Amino acid sequence: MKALVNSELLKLRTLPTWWVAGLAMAAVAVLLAGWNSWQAHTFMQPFEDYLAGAVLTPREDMSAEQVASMRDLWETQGDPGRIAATLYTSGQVFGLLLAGVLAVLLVTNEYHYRTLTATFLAAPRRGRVITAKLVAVLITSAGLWLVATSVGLVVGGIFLSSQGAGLGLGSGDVLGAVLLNLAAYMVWGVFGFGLGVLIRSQTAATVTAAALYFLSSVVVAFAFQAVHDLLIEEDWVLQAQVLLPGVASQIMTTPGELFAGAPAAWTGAVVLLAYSLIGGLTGTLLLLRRDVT
Amino acid sequence: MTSPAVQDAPAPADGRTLEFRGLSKRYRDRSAVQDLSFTVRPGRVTGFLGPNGAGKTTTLRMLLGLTAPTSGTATIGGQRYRDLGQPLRTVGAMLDESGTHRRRTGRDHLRVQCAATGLPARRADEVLDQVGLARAGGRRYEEYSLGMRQRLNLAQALLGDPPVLILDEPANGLDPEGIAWMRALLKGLAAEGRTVLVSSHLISEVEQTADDLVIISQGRLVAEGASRDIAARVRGESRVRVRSSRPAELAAALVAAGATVTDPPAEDGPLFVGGLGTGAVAALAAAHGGELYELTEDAPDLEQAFLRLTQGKAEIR
Repeated sequence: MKALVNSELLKLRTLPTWWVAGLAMAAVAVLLAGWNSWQAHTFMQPFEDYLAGAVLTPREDMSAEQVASMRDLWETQGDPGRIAATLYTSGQVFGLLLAGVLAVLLVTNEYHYRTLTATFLAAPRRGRVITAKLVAVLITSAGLWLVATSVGLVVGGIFLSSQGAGLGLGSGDVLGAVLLNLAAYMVWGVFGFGLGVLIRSQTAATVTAAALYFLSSVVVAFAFQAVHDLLIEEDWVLQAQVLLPGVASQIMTTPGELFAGAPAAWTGAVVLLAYSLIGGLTGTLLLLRRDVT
Repeated sequence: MTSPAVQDAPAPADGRTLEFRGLSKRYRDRSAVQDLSFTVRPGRVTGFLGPNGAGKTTTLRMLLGLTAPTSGTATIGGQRYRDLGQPLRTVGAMLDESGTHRRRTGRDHLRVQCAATGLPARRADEVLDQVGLARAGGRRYEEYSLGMRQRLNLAQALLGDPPVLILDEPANGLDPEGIAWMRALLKGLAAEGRTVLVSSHLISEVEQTADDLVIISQGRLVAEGASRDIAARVRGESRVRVRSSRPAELAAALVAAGATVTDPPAEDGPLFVGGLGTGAVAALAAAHGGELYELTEDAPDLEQAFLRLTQGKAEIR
């Protein structure tokens, strides 16, 4: 089994894909960690400075309610644990998609370049090949997470130190967020794997992965809100958004509630894993039986 | 179809004999292989012949576990491919459609296979050297010519130094020099006691190399045996071609002598005579006068034998 996993990883390492993906991941993580640092900086100022910078209305013209709501925001966003967690998970928005796409490629390359014949000649027990691929996908996803997290730790660490703030690495919440991030990378890897096995066409699978990932936008939220308000005024309508992979992913990784009444974070993970299992198992069963051409 | 040549062959070495028994493959609307049974023995080159679409590749892919047979079995030393402990060390396969990622180098492609089977990575360089690609190993697959791709395919088959080699149309894309080289290599591998099964749609390609022939057409076995037996069987059907200034008289005399004369003579056309040798025909012609313009033995070569055996069955389905 170890030999098969090595072989799968070697397939990735003998192509430019791995370093292109790694560099892209690092570059995006640097940019987003910088952006997150800039954001954090505004919330880490004393409240009066923050208010002056964030609102154009002069302080004396603001109502007490307005000031209170701004203070709320400043307190939530300025929470040191939250800031550290955001910094250390920088690049996630891109990294999850990349993990999914790399997994798609790892599977569909075999069809696209007709290498499945060679693969199955070397290892005719197809179930073992598929398991090895899944392990390779998990390792690849973890690798991307490691790149992004390292960048986040370096950039975030420098920023926090410059602000005289602690790194927050001892905090359970911060570590929890970092590990949850790892889980998210892996879940998207497995999700991409399932898509690839099921769809087989490289282009179609990649496009589907990206579409499902980005199908979490305001458009979706608006559509569900409209159904909720106009047709079925039940909470489950809004909560059903979690069934879209992109939304599930956001629910899983966003600290606090993504929207009012959103289901708990774990439901997001469960939804994504369920899709991965369905796609992966269906695809695997087909692959085990189908003739290789 | 036992023949003296087959009896001369070394006793089947363990794990090296290929057995096809009642092998069939049906696709939804057509039958690709029907009830195919034959044996391929070690220490010999066996040519696996048939026109395009006869089912050669499907048969080989069933042996290699890539395609599931509808019924029947194909085994290597009595085992199915997927039950072989170390498939690449037992069977090396060079398939027509085997691919490689175009951005991967030839050497890396082989190393991936090495890793999967637990072979040392240096085997990649050794087989590249063996097929004459030592210097091209570091180049990407997309830069390879068709001939180089075939050589890389062959290198992949040799990776595990296997006692059994299965080669599907190995001469495709090779230049004459490459074909000669391939023939010598296959003969050498068989001489080492390996089982070598080579498919081709051109008998001329395997005629000089193959000790045994298995000929299929439309998914069915047409002939199986030692090449020279098949050739001899065909030569038994040889005819004498003769042209004379008095064809009608000659034809009558030949028939009277017990020969068969196939084509009724046109004004000046040749006669095709079966059942008599050139000497007998010449003697009869001399006895009946007239001038002899032509007298040759019309012995079909293997190519013609092949065409005759697979005649009318070559249409693409």
